[in-house]
Amino acid sequence: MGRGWRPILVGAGVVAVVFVLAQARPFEPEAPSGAPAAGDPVRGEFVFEQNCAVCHGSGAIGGSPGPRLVGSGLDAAAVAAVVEQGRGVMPAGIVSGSDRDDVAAYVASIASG
Amino acid sequence: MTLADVNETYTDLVTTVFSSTIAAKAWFATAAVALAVVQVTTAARIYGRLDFLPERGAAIATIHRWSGRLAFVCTLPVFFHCVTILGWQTPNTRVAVHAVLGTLVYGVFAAKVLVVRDRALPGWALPAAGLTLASTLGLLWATSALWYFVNVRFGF
Repeated sequence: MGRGWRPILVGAGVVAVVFVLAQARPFEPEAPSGAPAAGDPVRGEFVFEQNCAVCHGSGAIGGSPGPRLVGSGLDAAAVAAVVEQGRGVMPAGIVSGSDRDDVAAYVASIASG
Repeated sequence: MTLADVNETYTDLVTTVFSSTIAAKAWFATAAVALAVVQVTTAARIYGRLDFLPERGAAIATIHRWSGRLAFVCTLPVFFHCVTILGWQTPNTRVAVHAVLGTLVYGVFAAKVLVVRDRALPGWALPAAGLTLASTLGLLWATSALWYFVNVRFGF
């Protein structure tokens, strides 16, 4: 085999290592017990901006009448519960199903900041 | 330090500057792509194209080398978040395309680095490897950071 194949072989090896690492997700946070199904925080931010930002502000930095959620310390289960049941002037069920789980994952990801 | 601590420390560090780890990722990817444009431009000049740019020489070569190094560094936080926290996911076409390209990009990078150092390879090998890498990065950016800026929010 000619040396011209070396970059391709090494590149393929690197791809294989990255693929295995991506399957393993070694630093994926563990979901707390009782939490809703793990949502997608990336999609959750999209859903949040479409449905929640009008009250909580873009990026959840606080608005009217929604409070600031950045740094609020909420976990995904707590967010999902509020979304489902409502709180104060916030109506119940603004989003549901996977949208709710995604929003919960997103808010939880910024709540510890 | 446990694995969960690594994730928390990373999140704490990144959110001192950015609103979320996702926003940070979008901006690091944008910086890497901007530097990739510098890479392609300076490479074209080294190959005698783009006559309107300053003369070929040591300065262009230095800019080319350092823009490449910086672009690589900018991809590292993105790699950490995408690969070791989010991992392989294919919930829709955009994310699936992004996952495939993201898995390939470091392999293409490794191949390009080896092609640079191997002078026995044909002359077209290096431009082909460089353009493949720049295209992969550009498509990765379009399926993630651009989507984020257009659909979610354009901000830090």
